[in-house]
Amino acid sequence: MAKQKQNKTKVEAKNAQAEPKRKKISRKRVPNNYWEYVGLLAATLVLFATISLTIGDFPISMELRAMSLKNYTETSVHDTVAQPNDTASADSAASSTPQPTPVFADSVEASVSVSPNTLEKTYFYNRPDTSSGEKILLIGDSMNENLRIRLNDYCIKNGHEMHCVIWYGSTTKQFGTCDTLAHFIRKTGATYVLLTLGANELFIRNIAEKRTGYVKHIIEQMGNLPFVWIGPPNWKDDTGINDLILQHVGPGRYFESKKLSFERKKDGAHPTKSSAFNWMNRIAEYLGNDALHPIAMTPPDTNYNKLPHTTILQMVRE
Amino acid sequence: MNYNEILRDIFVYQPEAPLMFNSPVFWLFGIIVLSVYAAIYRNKLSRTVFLLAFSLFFYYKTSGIFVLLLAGTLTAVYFITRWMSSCQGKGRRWLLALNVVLVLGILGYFKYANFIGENVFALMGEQYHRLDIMLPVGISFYSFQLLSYAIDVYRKELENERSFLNYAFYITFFPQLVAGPIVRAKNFLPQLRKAVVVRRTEVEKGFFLIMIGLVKKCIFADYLAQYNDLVFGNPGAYSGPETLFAVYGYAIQIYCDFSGYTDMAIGMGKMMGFDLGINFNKPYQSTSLTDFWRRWHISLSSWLRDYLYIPLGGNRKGKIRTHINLLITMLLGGLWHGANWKFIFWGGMHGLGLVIDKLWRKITKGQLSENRIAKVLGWFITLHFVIALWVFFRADSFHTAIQILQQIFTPSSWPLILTFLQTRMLFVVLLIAAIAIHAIPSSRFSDIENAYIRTPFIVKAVAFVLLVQVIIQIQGTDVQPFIYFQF
Repeated sequence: MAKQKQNKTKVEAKNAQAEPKRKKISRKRVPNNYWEYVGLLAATLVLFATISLTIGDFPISMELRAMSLKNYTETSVHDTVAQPNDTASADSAASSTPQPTPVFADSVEASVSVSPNTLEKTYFYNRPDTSSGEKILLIGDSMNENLRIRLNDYCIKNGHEMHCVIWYGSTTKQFGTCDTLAHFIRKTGATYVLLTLGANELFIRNIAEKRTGYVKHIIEQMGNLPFVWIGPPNWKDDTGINDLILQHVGPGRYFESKKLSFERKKDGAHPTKSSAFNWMNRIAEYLGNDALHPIAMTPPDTNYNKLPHTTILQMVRE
Repeated sequence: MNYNEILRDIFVYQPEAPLMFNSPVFWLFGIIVLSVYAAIYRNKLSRTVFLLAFSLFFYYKTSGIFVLLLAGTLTAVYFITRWMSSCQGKGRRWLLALNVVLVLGILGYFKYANFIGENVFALMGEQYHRLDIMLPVGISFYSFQLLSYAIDVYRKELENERSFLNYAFYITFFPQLVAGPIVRAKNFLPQLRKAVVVRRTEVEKGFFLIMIGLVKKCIFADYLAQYNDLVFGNPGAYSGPETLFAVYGYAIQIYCDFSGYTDMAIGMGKMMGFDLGINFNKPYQSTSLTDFWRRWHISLSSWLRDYLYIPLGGNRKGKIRTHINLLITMLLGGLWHGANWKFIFWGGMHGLGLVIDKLWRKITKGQLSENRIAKVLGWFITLHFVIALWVFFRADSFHTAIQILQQIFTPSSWPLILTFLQTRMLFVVLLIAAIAIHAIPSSRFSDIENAYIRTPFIVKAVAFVLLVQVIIQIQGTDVQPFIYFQF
């Protein structure tokens, strides 16, 4: 019993000693390595911010993005697809008309790769005699993924031919600094162009200043060809891309998609397949009735759900 | 350069660019917060007020005006719980019910109103016009924290927190506010009552976890997501092997995305002297579905166990009730993820899988649990069951999910696998690397962590700069949102 009491007293004494010790610990400053890490975070942020602001890109190009399928940064496109005259300040160069670099002059395969699966799977479905029909080129960003399937239904019904080109993550800046559009117009012998661009640049500030030159150059590439620019299906108010395009293409050549309401995919941006089909139905109405150059767009009786001939553009390793 | 615009970007809520751990603006704030915190953390009141204020600002930058909803809800729950703690008997029960109705009512309105409306109107054969309701970020997470606090006080497992500041800090602590882990009050509040100690080892471990989280989220998850999104967005356009790789890719993506976020959250907590617990423990190493749910989103599964499964009767009311309770728990767990039948299906199938797992163990009397072949077989079946259900979790609709699963078994397209491997080399390399890293046993992981701690700081600094460089190279123009933000 006495031993137990003794032990208890010992424990209490230990606790009493521990109390001031704990207090002592709580008074301690943060360890040195805490500051080392804060310093490291700050130094790294300053380093990369400085490089980004002064050079415009990061010094070591590891070209990992070459494999990516969307969201190419604008800089990487500059590096590998097109070189505007003033590479040091692309945005300031944009206000004047940029000079295109012929990318596809010699060989398409040299600068783009075509998804093997898409090639294998795509063909003209029951192609009717389209000699009197239009050769439609649907070209632009990822919004074409589902639009093309429904447009193909219209083409089958109305005796048009179509070819689709999807450049994932593309913007007016990319199309405006190379001759991709002109190349595919030539290659497909298109008689009518449908262009979907703008969805990847809804929130760019001072857009008129930065993009006017590119938009003009895109329109120039189409020459006298009838075309309709399909505006982006806004999920938020844009900073002016819709107004900018409309201003330059003029009435009858711009379908203002932002006025429609869409059911979105999980990414919150792309319309779902059924919503994209409805979108295409509305575009077809416009093409048949309100466009500057109307074309036959009688609604098809069914969804064939077939992919049209498609070329997918993506960056290749240099 | 327009400084007003820069300041506006930094301090005003931007719906198109919410503040996230992997954004440069958060990095900037992180440096400021850690610096101020180091100066004041020894003073309990200053520390709490400062972190609470930053946490609310963080939520404002993530969710805008909904910060008022968060503040209002947590204040109401605090005072109702305080009142409840002074009551006994029926009054106590009614006040708990009031708390539950309040929290679930708000959650229900924002998350489930349109879903319920659509289904009710569909049953009546009428057209439903969706209400324009935006889901506040992280509402499911903080609602569960609020509920656990109120229920713990009701059960007298936790004393009502006297300090409103401590309580508000617990709910809003920014690392865990928008995507968990769902920290329990009884684990976190005691940490606030005593002096917080920032230890050297914890700082090292915290930063190591942040780096691991960045690698998982910004390299693995975001890169794999780019290809997965294409396939899930247009399943009919891809061949069997392409689709199969996207399905495996998504399993890795969701794990790296979510566990990467929680690693960063836990790491930040550690650096500031707080323990947020663990949320993942190598889930794809599980040899059974029961094992999987002990390793995946641990804070949610333990929450569901303690506040739903056990109150329903758990395994105390006979075999059939146990199975029904499991199914109900998992169905509601599925619904927690989102207002959509696909999530309910996903949860229900997991529930069914757990029931079958329980029955199997009953039949075999646990005799196979140590058999190596049975373990490997169990791992393989569990992994592929989980992966197949992720397809329903990710796909836009039930129909798309079925289409994707069918597409995998398109025999004619299998010769294309070589072309695929050539074209998507980095995707395949990252996929294999992620699987290899995941296969590292926990004990080995501790060794790696200890080796990191022992490494000279200069080496760590170079490694970090290289990591940032790789992330910048691999990332797109936009910061990718975390998958679990939407829940």
